[in-house]
Amino acid sequence: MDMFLDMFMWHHQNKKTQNNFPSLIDYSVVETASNEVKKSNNLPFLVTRAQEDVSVSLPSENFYKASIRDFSLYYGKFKALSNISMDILSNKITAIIGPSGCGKSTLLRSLNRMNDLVPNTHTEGEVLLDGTNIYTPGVDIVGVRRRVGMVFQRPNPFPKTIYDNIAYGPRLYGLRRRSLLDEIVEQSLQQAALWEEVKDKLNQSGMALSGGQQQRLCIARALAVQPEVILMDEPASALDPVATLKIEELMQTLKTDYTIVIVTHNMQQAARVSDYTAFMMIDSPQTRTGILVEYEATSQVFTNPKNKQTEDYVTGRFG
Amino acid sequence: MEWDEIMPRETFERELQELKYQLLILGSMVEQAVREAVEALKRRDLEVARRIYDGDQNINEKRYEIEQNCLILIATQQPMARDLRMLAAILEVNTELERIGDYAKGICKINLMLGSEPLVKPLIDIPRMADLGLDMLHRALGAFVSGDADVARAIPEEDDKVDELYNRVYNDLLTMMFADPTIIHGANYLIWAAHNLERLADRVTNICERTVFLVTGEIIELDLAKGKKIEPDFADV
Amino acid sequence: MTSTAEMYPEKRLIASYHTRTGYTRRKITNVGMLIITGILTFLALVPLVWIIGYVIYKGGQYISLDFFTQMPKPLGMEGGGVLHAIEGTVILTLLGGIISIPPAILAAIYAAYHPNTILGIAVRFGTDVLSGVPSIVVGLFGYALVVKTQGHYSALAGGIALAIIMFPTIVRTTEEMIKLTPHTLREGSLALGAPEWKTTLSVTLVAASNGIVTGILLGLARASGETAPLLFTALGNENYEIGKIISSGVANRTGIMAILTRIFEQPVDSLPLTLWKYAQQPYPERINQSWAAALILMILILTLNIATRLWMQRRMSRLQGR
Repeated sequence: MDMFLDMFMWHHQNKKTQNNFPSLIDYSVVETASNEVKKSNNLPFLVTRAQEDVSVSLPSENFYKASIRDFSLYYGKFKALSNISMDILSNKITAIIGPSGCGKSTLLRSLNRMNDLVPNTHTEGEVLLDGTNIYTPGVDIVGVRRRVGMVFQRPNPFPKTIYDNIAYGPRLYGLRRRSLLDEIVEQSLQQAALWEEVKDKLNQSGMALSGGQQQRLCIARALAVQPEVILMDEPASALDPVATLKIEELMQTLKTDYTIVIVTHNMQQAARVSDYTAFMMIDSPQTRTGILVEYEATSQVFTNPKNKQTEDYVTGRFG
Repeated sequence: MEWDEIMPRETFERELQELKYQLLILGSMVEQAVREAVEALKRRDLEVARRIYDGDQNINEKRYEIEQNCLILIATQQPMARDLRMLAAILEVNTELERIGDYAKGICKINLMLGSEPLVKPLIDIPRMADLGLDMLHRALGAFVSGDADVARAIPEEDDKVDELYNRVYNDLLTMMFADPTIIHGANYLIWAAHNLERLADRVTNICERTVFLVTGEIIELDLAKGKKIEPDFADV
Repeated sequence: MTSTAEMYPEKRLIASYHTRTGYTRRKITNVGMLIITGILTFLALVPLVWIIGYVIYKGGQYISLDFFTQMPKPLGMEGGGVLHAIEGTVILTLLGGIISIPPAILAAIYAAYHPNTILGIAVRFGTDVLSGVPSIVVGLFGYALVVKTQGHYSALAGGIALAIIMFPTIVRTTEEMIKLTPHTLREGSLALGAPEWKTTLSVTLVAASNGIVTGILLGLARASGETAPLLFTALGNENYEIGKIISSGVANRTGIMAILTRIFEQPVDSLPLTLWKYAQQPYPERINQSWAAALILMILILTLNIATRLWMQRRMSRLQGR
């Protein structure tokens, strides 16, 4: 337990500073282009502003946070997922899209072993988290779930106070010191953009909040255990359009610190928020086994998908 | 961060802004190319002409890059209304800029084809045309990115001055050719160069039309009837 | 100009529904049905009001402060109260609750989470059968199990019999309430890395607490009104007085355990038991007292119900912030 505490403190002291950089534009190109312009002595007035923005640092490290290798999952005799292989990039948002019943959520839940809750589940293949297979027999599931947090479709605050909702996770891992808990609660709520709204009513029930606030409370609750990956299962499906767009912006700020995997029915949402998109579907109506059809940069999937089925799906001609 | 401070679509807004910067960078690349091309023609600097001629490739690549990013934004961000018009207009302006780049390339080509041949007359009106046209372009791009429809409506009126200069260059060279048929070759090239610059100003007019469309949603022809509206009837589409 | 109905024959059918006659007919039907349901509701309420009203009328005449605070007087004498029975009812019900609530909740948790295992099915089937067993049989069981082995009637035996009576009610309501708590709530806790027992204790049971308390209350209310299981177990004891037991215990410095043992090892009376016994006696005084006992029993259960309901409402409104 002491080791957990140490890790906790370590994570809190090493929180990266947040910097926002747009995901779309490759800055190296801007730099070359502006250098070309700079060479000439007549700079147009606005380009100098573009020049300043170039100084934003580039994402320093792109590595695979999680890797799914030839992963298959069975519920009893039913094969729900077949031979899925994909790498999830660190500090990126990866979206999983596909028609209903294609196994999107199942795949998502495989990343923190939530599928273990379903009786008679067994798996083949590996899910590597930082290179370690989380399906190795005897692996600490509690540890896996601490590192891979989850936010659900419907907001599910515990019937406890706002404070206790957030502190639930840290307390599970043996954190009892009130001052540290206070700090974690405040920090988590701030990260989830909820602090200002609830700071004066931390002792009220979490269920008293509005739907959008509840969902942010659940995000804060997941953040409180300092996970490395956050799984989101249709996090905005119960929210109104503006709250949905705001949650999407929130995700953009969260990805500087976390790796996010999101499942969504809403294709447009996947297009808006994600950096990479995986398209899944069932192999045949008889077997209904989920397969990964295409996994590409989001810009690629929505402008020029390689696979015909992906194209049919994103153009709305199928699914 | 606070919830009230989160602006919906902030990421999209930023990426759209970035795209506008990119367009301005392309604009300045094109501007520079035209200016240097005319300079090089005036000074008969073949080396610079060759460099700009080859450099047109960079402009083309930049244009495709902007187009690509524009399409990605349309595909991933579902822009509507003003945002959609903006992206459509960026695509249009992008093409216009690339064409203007081609004029710079054309002028350089004339320079290269003239080779060691001296100019039939010192260039006075052609650089003036270039200055006028580029000034219009510069302001037109500024009006485009800042969405200033008033400025955009005013700029095409200056096109008359460019046309006037073009007619003068044309008449001067025609007179010279009548007087001395041996310079027809060289004079013809200069007419071409002037023609390129005249077209440049026309393209600036197109950019201004796009700006008005962007701001008001109305498609107008600024050069023909000076602001006569052509009402797009979207209900019929 | 042709009308829509002429142009589209199929629309004429729809149009006919909007005529005046159709509207009037539907309105009459509506009012008729409303009247019928009103009458039936009234009929259903009649016995309830009748019973309550009659008990209040009959019992109210003989009720007084003495009736709550006095021990019974010897037969034939005027006055006296049923303090012994009120105390006995409280003791028996509490004892029954203490014995049955923990295992009932644990069994309910098991049955809710493992509905298709042999044990889960057994729990459900067993409680169903148990709730159908006649309560007199439960009393006989208590007699055989406790009275026979101990050699005397006791509050403990009565408590055990009542525990068996309330067990199925608590199990079934708790199970239903646990099943009704959103599955996502459980997942939310498990996804944070909480073990299942911790999740059940600190999330599921808290979320279901409202229903569980209602279930417990139902069980307690049912048990406190039972007579038959107590006939062979608690028997009845007109000299049962907790105050006396405690004061003598304190005076002799016997310690808490000894006092509790004395409370539980004696035969006790309860309100329904007293009611039943008094009603059979040929003395008008006793019969009147049994009416009064019935009224007290009714008030006791009603108060328990209303108080819990109010408490729950306040709790829920605090939880939901309304």
